Amino acid sequence: MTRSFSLPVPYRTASLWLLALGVVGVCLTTSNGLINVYRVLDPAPTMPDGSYPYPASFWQLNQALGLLSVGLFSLGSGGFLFARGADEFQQHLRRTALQYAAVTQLVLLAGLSLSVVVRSDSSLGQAFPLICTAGLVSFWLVYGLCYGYLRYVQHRVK
Amino acid sequence: MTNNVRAARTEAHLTQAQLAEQVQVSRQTIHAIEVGKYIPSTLLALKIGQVLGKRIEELFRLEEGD
Repeated sequence: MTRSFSLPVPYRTASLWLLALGVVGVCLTTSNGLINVYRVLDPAPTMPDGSYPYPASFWQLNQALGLLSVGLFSLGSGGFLFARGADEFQQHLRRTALQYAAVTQLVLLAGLSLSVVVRSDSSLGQAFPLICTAGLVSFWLVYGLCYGYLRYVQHRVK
Repeated sequence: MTNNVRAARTEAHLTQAQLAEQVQVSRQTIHAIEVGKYIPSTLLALKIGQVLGKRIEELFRLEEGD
């Protein structure tokens, strides 16, 4: 019996939900969307002009939710990537898509970092969050597109 | 590598879906093996051989250059 780091197949769906929750949480906390959640849950303090006063604990809660969301996203990503495919062929397709996504991400990260270093109008430190976000988005985009193409176009069964 | 999985399956009067079910993979996997787009693991090749009543050497053959 061989041992591996892979997780059983059902973890894939659960991990996808965690990943999606993490993305929603990150979007919510980085765009001040949490205030709208307050507004829906407790509409009483809404001002006549439609604005809503920030509660005292807002920023602490926003930060905690942000960290939790990043945690959920990381956990979901890890679980999804380490979960086995339904069978060995699908596992092979997932691995191929993963390779393309990883290479694309690395090239993009290197290219963006280099362009920031070469251009003198912004520092690498300032651009770091943007570069990381671009890397993450490109990874998942390429992974999804590549897996979809391999599974539903290239190896389509009539 | 070439294979005779399709011929052996037809000879055994099995559909792709039936063979897939018996060896516990998807029909897409069987199709990919038959058209030569995927080389199965030893375990899966043995299972296919068992279901079709053939030895691995009868189902899969090395080509020159492999």
